[in-house]
Amino acid sequence: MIITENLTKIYNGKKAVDNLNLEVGDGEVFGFLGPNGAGKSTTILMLTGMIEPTSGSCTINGVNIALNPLKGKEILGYLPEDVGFYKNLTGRENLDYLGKFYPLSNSDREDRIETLLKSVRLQDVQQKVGEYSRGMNQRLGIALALLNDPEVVILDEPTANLDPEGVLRYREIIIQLAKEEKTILICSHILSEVKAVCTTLGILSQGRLVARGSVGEVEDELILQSKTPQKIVIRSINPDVYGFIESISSPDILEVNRLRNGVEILVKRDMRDELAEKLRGNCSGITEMYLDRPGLEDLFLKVYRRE
Amino acid sequence: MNLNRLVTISQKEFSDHITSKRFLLILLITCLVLGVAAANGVNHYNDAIEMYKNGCEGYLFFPSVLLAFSRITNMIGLGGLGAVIGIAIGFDLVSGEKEGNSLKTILSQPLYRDELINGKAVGGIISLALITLAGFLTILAVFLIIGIVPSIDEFFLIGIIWLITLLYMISAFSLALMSSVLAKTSSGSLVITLIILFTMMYIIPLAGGELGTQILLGPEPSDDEYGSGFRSQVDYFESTQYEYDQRKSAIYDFVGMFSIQWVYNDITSPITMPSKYVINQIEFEKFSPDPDVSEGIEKPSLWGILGDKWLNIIVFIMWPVLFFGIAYVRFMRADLR
Repeated sequence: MIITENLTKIYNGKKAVDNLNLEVGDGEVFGFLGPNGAGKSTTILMLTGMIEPTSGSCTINGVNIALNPLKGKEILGYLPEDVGFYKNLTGRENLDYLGKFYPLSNSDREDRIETLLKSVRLQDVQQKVGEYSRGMNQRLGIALALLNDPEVVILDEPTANLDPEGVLRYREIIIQLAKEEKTILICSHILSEVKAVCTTLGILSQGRLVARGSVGEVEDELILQSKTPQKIVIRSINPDVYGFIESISSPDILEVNRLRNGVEILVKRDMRDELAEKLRGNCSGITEMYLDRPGLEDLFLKVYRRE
Repeated sequence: MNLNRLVTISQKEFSDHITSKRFLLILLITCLVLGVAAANGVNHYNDAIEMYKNGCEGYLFFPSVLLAFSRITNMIGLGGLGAVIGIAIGFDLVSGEKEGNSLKTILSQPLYRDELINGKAVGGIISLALITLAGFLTILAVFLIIGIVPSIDEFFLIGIIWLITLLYMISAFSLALMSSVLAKTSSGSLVITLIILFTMMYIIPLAGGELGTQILLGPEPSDDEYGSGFRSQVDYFESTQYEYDQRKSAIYDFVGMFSIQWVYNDITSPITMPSKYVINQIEFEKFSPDPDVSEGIEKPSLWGILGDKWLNIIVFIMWPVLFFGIAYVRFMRADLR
């Protein structure tokens, strides 16, 4: 479990992270989003014990990372953005060297490395890391993040440079980790990827957490913030449906447009239940009703493009 | 700081050094240059024996094989070989990791920053010890091939010279390590190292000496001021000039301490050339040296030399400590964003 309490970091008088209160539970796959400069990397560096907070605290499974960074790092797996390795060593040698800092016996470490290299399809690669492609480097980074069988995993841009197969393998790994009740925090700019694997999302803006919840809840929040209308589309074989919808008076209905086989209603919020109730018994011939709203990426861009 | 982690890092750093092409090249060049310098030094040693036998001036004591080391230490110190080796081993230790993004990776593992910087320093110092050891073994091999076998005492003094040489290279290494912490790139680190080294070796000793003399002593005494002809006036001028020269020499000695090259040569030359050291001391202590000065003068002992050069030795140890201290503090506070 990750808990931050009033976590603040000030650089040169400017608040990079401003009183951040965040909780990511066991088995939760949390997508950490935000525009560039929002404070995501600073938060991650504090969570991983790489920098100290100006004030506030962050704990990883009950371990205050600033007070006990070594213990925290022992239970934490971290994939930094643009992860780098020792180019003069092979992937296996890199993991072996970095694994020596964990309380693992030699045989356990070797077994773990073997399993992880298989998992990221690098077990037969004998090249030095200097000759690796960016995708191979990233896969080795994912293996490194899981080297100590961590209870909490923090991944910064995990799918960057991965090929489609690599992305699929990465998703399988995340699903498996979530099944094992690990706490996972993923920071990424690839929103479709975040949406595909994350159970919850949080958006950081100017050092503050401005939205937190399930993917749907965060989308609702972004719709509110961006004041983007949503569309409810009703397909019908009954031409009277247009007239009926137009007769409904509601401040949440912005516009009603006639379609060839139905209507399109621009609304401020999801009103499908109310509309269905009103249509029932008054208007027959409805074949379909659905909400057509902008995707997470569009909403995110709309709200944070200016940042 | 945990010893196991320190050893793990030091081992890896040492292994990185000795398996790199750069290290092998440095080792080859060191052995080659020191081998040639040893052969040259042996010629110098043989010439000195002949000159001593012929009663030539400048040789108060029977030359020892250590005289051959005067050419070697010149090559290492004034020739710049030692500084080049130290810099080559240390200039990219931290900056290279910054460039390759591996610094964040290693620091995200359960270890303290001081263990990493100390481990890097230990690994580098062991590599330098290996290079200097290989260089000195090459020198001894050249000696043995030519038929010169040092005595036990000479072996001991060669060991002391090796230690001083290692310390000299560690100074250059710690300067390079400091630069690699300060700079973002390895090329930047190399530039910073060379600028600091050049300033310490040449600008401060030369410009600082001249500036210090002008500020503290003023212009050199001129014999015009004392008229001419009277013996008392000439004596007064000569004593004033002598005093001025001594004070000027003290100023130059002081600013010379900024040059690790100069300090290295100043500590090693009394061991390799005791006759020259004794003659220089007599010339400084007595204005007119006695022509029979060699009679009754004892060869200076190692402890006597070390006692005389204690300030230089402290300065010699101070520089690497200072450079490493700066590297340590900056690395501990480094921003990893």
